Amino acid sequence: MIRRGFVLTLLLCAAPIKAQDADADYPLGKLRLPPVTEPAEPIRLVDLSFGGGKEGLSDWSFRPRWKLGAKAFLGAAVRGKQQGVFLETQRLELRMSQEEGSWAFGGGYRGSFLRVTVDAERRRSDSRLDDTWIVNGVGSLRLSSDWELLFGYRHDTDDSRGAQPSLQDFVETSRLPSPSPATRIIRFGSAGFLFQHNNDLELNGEASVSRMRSEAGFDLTRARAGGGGIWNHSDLEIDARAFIDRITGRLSRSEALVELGLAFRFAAYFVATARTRQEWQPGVERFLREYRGGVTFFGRRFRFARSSEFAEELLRITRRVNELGYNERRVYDVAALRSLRERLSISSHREELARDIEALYRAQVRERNVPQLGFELIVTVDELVGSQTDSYRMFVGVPWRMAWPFTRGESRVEFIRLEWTWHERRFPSVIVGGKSRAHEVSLSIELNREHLLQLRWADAGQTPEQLVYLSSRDQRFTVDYVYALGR
Amino acid sequence: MSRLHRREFLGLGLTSLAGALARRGGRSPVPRINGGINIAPLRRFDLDAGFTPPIIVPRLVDLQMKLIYELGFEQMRVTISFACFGPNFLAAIPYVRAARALGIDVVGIIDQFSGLDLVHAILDPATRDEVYETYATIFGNFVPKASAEIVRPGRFAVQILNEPSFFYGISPEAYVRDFLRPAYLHLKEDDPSIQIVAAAPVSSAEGFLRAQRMIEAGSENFCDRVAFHVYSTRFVERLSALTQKPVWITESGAEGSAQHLDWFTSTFEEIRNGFPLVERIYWFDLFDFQPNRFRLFDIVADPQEGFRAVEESVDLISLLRNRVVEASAGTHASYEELVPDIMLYFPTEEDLRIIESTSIGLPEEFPR
Repeated sequence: MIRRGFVLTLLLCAAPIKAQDADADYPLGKLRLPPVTEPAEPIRLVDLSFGGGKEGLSDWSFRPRWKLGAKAFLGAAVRGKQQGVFLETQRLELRMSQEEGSWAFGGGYRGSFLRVTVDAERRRSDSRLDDTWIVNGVGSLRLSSDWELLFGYRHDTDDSRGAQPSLQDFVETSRLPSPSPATRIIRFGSAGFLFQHNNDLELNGEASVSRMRSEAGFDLTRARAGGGGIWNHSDLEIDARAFIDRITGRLSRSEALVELGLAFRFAAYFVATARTRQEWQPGVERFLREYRGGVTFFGRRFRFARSSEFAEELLRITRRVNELGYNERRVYDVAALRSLRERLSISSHREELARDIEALYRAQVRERNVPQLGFELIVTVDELVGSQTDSYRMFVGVPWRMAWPFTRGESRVEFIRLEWTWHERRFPSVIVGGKSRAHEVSLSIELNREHLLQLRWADAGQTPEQLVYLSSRDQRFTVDYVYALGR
Repeated sequence: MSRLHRREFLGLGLTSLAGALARRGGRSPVPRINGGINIAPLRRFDLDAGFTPPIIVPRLVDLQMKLIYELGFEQMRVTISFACFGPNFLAAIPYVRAARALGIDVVGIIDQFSGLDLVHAILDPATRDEVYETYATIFGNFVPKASAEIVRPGRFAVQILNEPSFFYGISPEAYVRDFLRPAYLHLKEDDPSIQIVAAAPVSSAEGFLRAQRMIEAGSENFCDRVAFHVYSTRFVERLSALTQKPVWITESGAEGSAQHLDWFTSTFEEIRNGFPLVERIYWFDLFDFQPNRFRLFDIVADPQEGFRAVEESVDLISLLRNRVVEASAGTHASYEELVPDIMLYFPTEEDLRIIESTSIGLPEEFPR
C-alpha cells in the first residue's frame, strides 16, 4: 500500500506547476513564486516528505498532501505503524488516524468569531483501559483583531484507579498485574485571553482547573494561573511566561514555573540570546533549573520577525481578513505563516487577497535570516533525577552561493548546515554514577526553500536508569527528505 | 588457594541451634527500650578480602551484637547485600539471627553495597522469585529465642533497596512499578505476615520531592510501612502530611558526636510529636569507618581481644546505658549468658543448600 502511494505521489509531483519568477537564487536554480492562490486542476502536490532510518519501522514516515481544486487540502500520513488522513478547508478541518487498533478523530471549525477544535482518541481495545476515550477541545472567541478569549477542555472517560494489588490473583496466576496508569488528567477546563498589540507586544493569560488521577489511585485537583508575553523593539526581544499551580488533595502543594528569555541583535549580523527556566515548589526547592546562552552570526543582516517588513504585511493582511470574517491570528514562524497563506488561498476571497498573500510571501523570502555560525551552552539541573546536564550546541552553515561561513552578503540564502550538539550528563548516584555523553549531529541541505534533505545521527548515551534496566545504548541514524511548496 | 572444607572456610554453626538454645534460661535479659539502630554487617576489617578465610570473623559479629544488646536497642536495621549470594550476603546471617534470638526486631535491606547484580536479578522475571524466596527463607524463618525469658524472637521485615534514586539513579515511579510492586507480591506470596518496608529517599529537599512522587506512584499500595530518613527537621511536618501509612524513620542522626545526645533526646521527640504515624526511629549508626560523624563507637583491632569498641558518642551511650539500668533495676542477663557462641547463628549447611538450589547458586570462588 505504501509502495503504491509512493508511485502515485511521484506521478502527481511531476504535474506541471504554473508559476511566476521570484528573485532568490538556489542550488536548484531560481525559485519560482508558488501558485498558492491559484486553484489546482484538479489536484496539486503541495507537501511530500519521506523519512527513513536503520533502527526500526518507527523511523519510517511518508506524508503527502495535495491541494484539491480551489477549496481544500487533502493529506495522508504514515509514521511507523500509525496511518492517518486529513482534510482541510478554510473553515473546516477533519482528521482520522489509527495505530494498532487505537483510533483518533479530530475536527475543527473556524467561524468569523469562534474557533473550535476537538480531538478524540479511543484507546486500543486490548489495552487495560479498554474502550475509553480522551477528548480534548480548544476554542477561541475573537473580540477584535487584537483580542481573543481562549477556552480549553479535556475529558478522559477512563475512571479506573490504581489500588492495592490482589495477592490472591498473583498466587493463582503467578503473573504480576499490569501497573496502574501513570498519573493523568481526567478533567480539565481553562479560560484565558490573548492580546496582540501590532507586532511588538503579545500577552496571554490563562486560568485552569484540572482533576488528576494519580497512579496510586487517589485524585488531586490542580488550579493553575499564569501567563506570558513577548515584547519586541528593533534590536531587542524579550519573552517570559510564569505559572503557579495550587494542588489540593492527598499531596497538597504549590508548584511554580518561570521562564525568561531575551535576544539582542548587535553589529547588525549577530544575535546574543539568554534564557532561563526555573521550576520549584515554594518552601521546598527548585527542582528544575535551566540556563541557556549563545551567540549566532548571520550571513545577512538579521531581522527579528516581529520588527521586519513581512510583519507589517502580516499585520495588514490579518486585520483585513478578520474584517472579512476569516478569524486569523498573527503568527511569525515559517510553518504557521505557510498554513495561514494556504488557508487564505482557499477562502472565497482568495482572488481579492491574492496580491496581499503574495506580498507577504515575498517579504518573508526577502527577509529570511541566514544563520551561519552559532554556539549555545545549556546547563540543566534536574534535582528529581539528580542530574546536571551541560549541553553544547554549535553549528556552521555554508550559504548559497557558496561562501565562507564567516563572510556576509545580502543576496545569500541557506544551503548547508552542519550542527553538533553534545550533552554531558553527570549523575551523583553512588552505584552507577558518573558521566553519560550524548551526541546529535545533523546535516541539512536546502536545495531551495521547498526542498530539504536532512541527515541525523544521534547517540543518546546511557543513563544510570538504562544501566539498571540493561537498555541498549540508543543510537539512531535517520534521513528525511521534505518537499513543501511555498515554504 | 588451598582447598578447604567449606565448614572450616565459613566457620559454619556446628551445633544444633534449637537444641543448644532450649537449655538456656534464667535472669531477665536487658530490656528493649532504646529504639532502633543501624549496623554495618561487618565480616572482616579488610573489606576487599573476598573469599579469603575466614569469610566472617566471629569476634567482629559478637562485638557488635553485644553492644546492641547491652544498649537495649529494640530494633536493628542491616543491609543484606546480595552480590550473587556472596560473602556479604552470608555475613548478614549471624547478625540477623542473633538479633532475632535476642528479641530484637530486624529490618533487612534487600540491596547491594556495589554493583548491579541485585537490581538485574530482581528485574529479571526468571530470577526475581527465587531471589526474594531465598531472602525470605534464610532470614525470615523461625529463630528460637536465646532465653526463655525473652518474650518473643525478633520479627523480620524487609526493606526494598535503600535511597534508590540516589544509589541507582532510578526514578521514584520506576522504583514503585518495577521494584517495590513485584517485591511486595513475591514476598507476601511466600509469607503473608512478612512486613514490607518501602525504600526511604535521601533526607533533603530533593528526597522530599522524590518521596512525594513515590506516594503519588502508589508506594503505599505495595508496602506495610513507609520509610523516611531524617537528618534535618526541615521537612518533618511536610513528610508527615504525605502518608497515611505507619512510618518507620529508618535512618536519623546528627553529624558530630557532640550533637548526638541532643538529637536523640530533643529531635527524636520533636519527630514523634510532629509525626503521629511514626512507629520507629533507627539511629544511624552503631559503627562505620568515619570518625566523629554519626557512629556511636569506633571499633579497633586489638592484639589481645581481637576487636575492641571505643566509645565515641560518650554522652549518648551514657544515656542509653542509664536508661537500661533504670528499667532493669541494675540486674539482667549478660550477653555472654545468652549468646555463649555466636557461631550458633552462622550460616548452616541448609542455608548453603538453599542458595545452591537457585539458578544463581553459590559464587564460583566458594570452596566446593
